[in-house]
Amino acid sequence: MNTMEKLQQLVVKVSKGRLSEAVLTPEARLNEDLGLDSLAQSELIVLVEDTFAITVGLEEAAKVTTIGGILAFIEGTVVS
Amino acid sequence: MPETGYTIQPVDASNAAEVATVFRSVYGDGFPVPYVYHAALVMEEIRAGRLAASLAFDSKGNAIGYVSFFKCAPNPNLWEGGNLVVVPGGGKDELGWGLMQHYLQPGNLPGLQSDGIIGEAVCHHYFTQVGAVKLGFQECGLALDLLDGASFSEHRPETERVACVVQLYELSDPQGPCYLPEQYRAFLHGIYERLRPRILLPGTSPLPRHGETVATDHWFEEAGTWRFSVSVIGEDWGMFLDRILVKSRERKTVCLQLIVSTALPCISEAVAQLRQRGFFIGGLYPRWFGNDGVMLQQLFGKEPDYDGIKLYTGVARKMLHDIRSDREAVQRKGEQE
Repeated sequence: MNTMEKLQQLVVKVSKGRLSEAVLTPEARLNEDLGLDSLAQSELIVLVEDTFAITVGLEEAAKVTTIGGILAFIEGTVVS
Repeated sequence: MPETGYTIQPVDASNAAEVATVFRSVYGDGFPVPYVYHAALVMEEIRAGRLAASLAFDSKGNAIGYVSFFKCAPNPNLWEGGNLVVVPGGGKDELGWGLMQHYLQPGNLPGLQSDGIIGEAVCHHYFTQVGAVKLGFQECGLALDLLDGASFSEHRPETERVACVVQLYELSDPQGPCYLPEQYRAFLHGIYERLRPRILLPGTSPLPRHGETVATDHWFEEAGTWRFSVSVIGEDWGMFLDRILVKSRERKTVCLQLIVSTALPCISEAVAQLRQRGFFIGGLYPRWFGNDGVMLQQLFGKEPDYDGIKLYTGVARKMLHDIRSDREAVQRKGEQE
């Protein structure tokens, strides 16, 4: 399973099954398109940190607003 | 902050009426702090030095968020950060994080001297815990069943009661020794490792043979939570505890907390009497009295829904494990007697 697929699974989990992986494109915006509010996003942060063994700073949490943005952050952080 | 699309401004007479607008957008008229609905009362709190609040406005001047510091403890230099509200549909998803960061910007705390900011982060979601930990708050305790789940009109919990993690951002060096109860020495040392250095001493003096216990209390009616802050212990300590236990049952208290000052060298014996009466550890309320307070708690409702308590850090999860173990040990001891 690649990073995008793992991330999609986490987002589906956070949405409690409301979202399917098909709508989780890189362009999808967390709030406007996917309806993930700040509470759901904080849960996503917890899952992303646990799954990928990385730390998400508050600034990134505020700045990264799309699936693609999270993916780039994970890949950039894991590689670095 | 033009890049964010919102500005954060202190609440003053010119915008205090907007506070009610923000709270009504989330809670209707049901928020349990009445002053937020009355601009004059908001200003009264601010002028009295009990409140420092900020509003967030969008580019059109609409109020879209609120965050505040308010007085909660016997120590006038300790502020509680909280009552963070973001207007739904405000279009600024990052605003919640931005308002949290606003806590710690220099100059936002009123007064020249602040010992710190204390917070009680709800545990039915991660938002506040995540934000506070990333800002540098230290987790110091866990208040079980502190709030009534039904009181949340927004983001309603799945549990009947809501636990809160006690978190502190310490801003000054503590003065004077802290006397620790022997029963919780290891537990408290684990917390102190993450705070500013203190002089820690064993609190093994005998209970006083004279004088009266001095405590202030706060009854949170909506939550069924009763909190005592004990600054002096007298010869009547046992009777004092028996009295408040009787009264707690009379007023249908769900959660009873006693925060005992670490300035008291007799704290180990005081804690022994608390444990004999069913109290168990809740954690540290640092700087609560200027010096610290050790919180013991007792629950009168159902068994806590431990699995429903969402905790962000391993530190908090370990704390829950230790607190649960202590509660069970106290219960076992009570059953044997």
